[in-house]
Amino acid sequence: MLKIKNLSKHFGGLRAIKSCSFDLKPNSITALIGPNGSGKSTIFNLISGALQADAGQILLDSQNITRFSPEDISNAGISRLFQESKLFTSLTVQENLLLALDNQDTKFWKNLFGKNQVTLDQTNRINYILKLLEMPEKAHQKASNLSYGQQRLVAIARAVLNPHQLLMLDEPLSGVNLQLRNQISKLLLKLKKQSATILLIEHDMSFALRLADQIIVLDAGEVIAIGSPKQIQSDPRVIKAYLGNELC
Amino acid sequence: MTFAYLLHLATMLGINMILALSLQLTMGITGLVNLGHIAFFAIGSYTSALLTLHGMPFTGAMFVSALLAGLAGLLLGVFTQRIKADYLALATLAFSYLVHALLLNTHSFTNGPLGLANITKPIIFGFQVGANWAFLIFTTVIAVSVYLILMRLIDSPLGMALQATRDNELALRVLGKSTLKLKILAFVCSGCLAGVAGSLYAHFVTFIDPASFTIMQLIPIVCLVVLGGLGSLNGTIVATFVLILISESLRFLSLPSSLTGPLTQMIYASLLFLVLIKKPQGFFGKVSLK
Amino acid sequence: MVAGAIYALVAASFSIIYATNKFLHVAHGAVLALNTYFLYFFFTVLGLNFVLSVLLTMLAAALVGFTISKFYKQLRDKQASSATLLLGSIALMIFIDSLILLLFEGNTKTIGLLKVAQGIELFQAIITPLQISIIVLSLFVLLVLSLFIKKSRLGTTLRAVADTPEQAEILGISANQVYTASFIIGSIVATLAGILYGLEHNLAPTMGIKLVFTGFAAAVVGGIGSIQGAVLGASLFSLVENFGIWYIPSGYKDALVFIVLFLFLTLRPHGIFGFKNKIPL
Repeated sequence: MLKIKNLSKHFGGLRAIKSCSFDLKPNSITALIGPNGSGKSTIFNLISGALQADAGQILLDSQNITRFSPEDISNAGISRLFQESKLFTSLTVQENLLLALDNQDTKFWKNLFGKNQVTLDQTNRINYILKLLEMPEKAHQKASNLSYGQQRLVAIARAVLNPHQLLMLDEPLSGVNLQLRNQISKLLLKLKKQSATILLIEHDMSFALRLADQIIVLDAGEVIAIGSPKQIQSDPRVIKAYLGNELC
Repeated sequence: MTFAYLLHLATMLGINMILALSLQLTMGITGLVNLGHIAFFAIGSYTSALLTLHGMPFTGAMFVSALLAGLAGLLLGVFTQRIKADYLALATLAFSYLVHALLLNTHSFTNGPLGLANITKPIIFGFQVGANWAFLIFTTVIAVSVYLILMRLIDSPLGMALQATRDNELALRVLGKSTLKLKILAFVCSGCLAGVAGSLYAHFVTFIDPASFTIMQLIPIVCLVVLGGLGSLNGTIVATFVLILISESLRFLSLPSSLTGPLTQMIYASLLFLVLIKKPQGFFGKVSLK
Repeated sequence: MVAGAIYALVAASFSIIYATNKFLHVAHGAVLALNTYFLYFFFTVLGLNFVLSVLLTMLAAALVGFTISKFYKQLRDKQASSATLLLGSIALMIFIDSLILLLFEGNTKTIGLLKVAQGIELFQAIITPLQISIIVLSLFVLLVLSLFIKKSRLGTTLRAVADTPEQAEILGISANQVYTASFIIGSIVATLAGILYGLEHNLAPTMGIKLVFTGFAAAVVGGIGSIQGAVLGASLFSLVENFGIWYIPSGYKDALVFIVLFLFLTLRPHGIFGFKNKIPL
């Protein structure tokens, strides 16, 4: 579904990504792991259009999206979660999620004279996911009034609601307490059961190995290993890259 | 403190309010620090004045003024798409100075520093809006319409998208919305409304010159928007009343006129600075400046 | 050429302040104007000796720089964004400009120091001894400034604080003191430019705007934060201005400055020598 071919990116003198290539199959979960600074977030930025690659190609179902803007990439079918939640702080939770649903019309005259009502379908979908995350009562709270963990949940919900074929999650579990982590894990496992295609970056190794069908290991901007969780766990290059970290 | 004076004051209040409300759309709602707003006002004024002086009926002139001012908004929106915050503020400020310099120097067109005089009073549906009370009613109608239009837009999905652009532009882009189009829309709409205010102004005071459209006139408007609160239309309205009343009350101190001008400016400037330090949200605002 | 030298001084002083404080201090022009008016006050109104007046003015300039820094500190302590700082700077600018109007009134003044002397012919342009001294002095000051920034302890400290204020704090450097120092230096250099300008031209409350916008434009074009950039930008501008006189009516010169500034700010904000921000969106 998603093909990365020889992707490269440098910042001034620093070569952050050196000719990376990998494939993502549909209906599978892929985890992108690697030590700090290996370039995981940079790859995410390149795929989602926040950064432009210096060389290489990104193909989504054989459509070349390498030079696409972030909004075009979203409309092509990729939804992304950032490491920081990036919520719309002055809007309510419901409004944050409404903006993700595709049928938000921003045509000028329609908004000036039209009915501008939230449809039942939209409300249902929002309530459904809020219930899944056990926060339905927060729908009309201003996003800035939520705790860090709750904001993370809303950010994840927003990424999930954004219509997509591929969901990219940058460290969905980071920084939240145990209870919320369990909720997020539950949601991701549910998505897995529904045959979602997910690419995720996660430092929690046990979770990544449990959830993922395929693991890609990155070190210093290069792909050093691709394989199933079992293969990766016993790969000497991977162990060397982490040097002392336990892969349980 | 004659009745005519009060009518005059109220009309200027109305015009300033339209200016401030339209600036609220770009600055407060969409998060664009647009210091080129006074240029929109100038373009609206001069266009309306020139067109009517050459025989075009008022309604047509006002329409074209709004159009041209909106086009200026389009220009700014397109050019500033890649720059943020303080650079945006400066680029738009440079634009204001640019327009001012052009107005001052294209003598053949605009009469340069001598300005345009004898601007006619508007004639709408055969009725001449000449008397002060008539003009006040006219201005109030327009001001209320502008308020209602903006209220409608802000509460709509479009308004939500504009506010999201302000809060986190990249996050909105990865949801599939073109923030460039949204920002341009805000600039154009804001420009059109400022152009309308400019047209009103020209036909009210019947004499305009480039000196009426400098940063000195812009700062009080910015002050209104920031003081009333970014993102709040109602805050802007309250702030307009409060500030205009403060500056008018200076008249009662019977200072020589060469002093009241600078003094008023100093008060506005100090107020702006104080608000930025003490209460950057303004009184009713939702957000502070990015 | 003379104008270029003066612009270069303004641009350099502006760059120092920007490089250290990381925001655009538009009130710079007003500060320049205010201090130049002080010279007028000391020399022409009070009738003091010229050298004494200049010294007093420099002192006043340092004081003004110090005060301005304190004002900005208030904003900085509230974690103000760069746009907020800019607006605060604009408010300061309006305040100072109005203050000048209040204290000195709007009509033009002159610092009548040297009579207009006979010029020497140089490259088919007439240039007076005064103008020569202005250029020489400006170049000297710029050179001293560059060396100071590069070599001296204060200069290095300035650059350190500009780069990473938090780390500088850990090393025991008080960021606030450094900010203040940059404003004082910037104010003094700009005042020098103002004085040199005032010797040749009349003083008007709006002189600050023209000088600072052109100086600022030069800094932007040359690359904000770099002194060589400031000099390059200023030279470019004065060249264009001087040759432009033959083709473009003088009023449009102002418009030209703003057009160039606008284009650079929107299309190439890092200027010619400045650094592009490498951090992703």
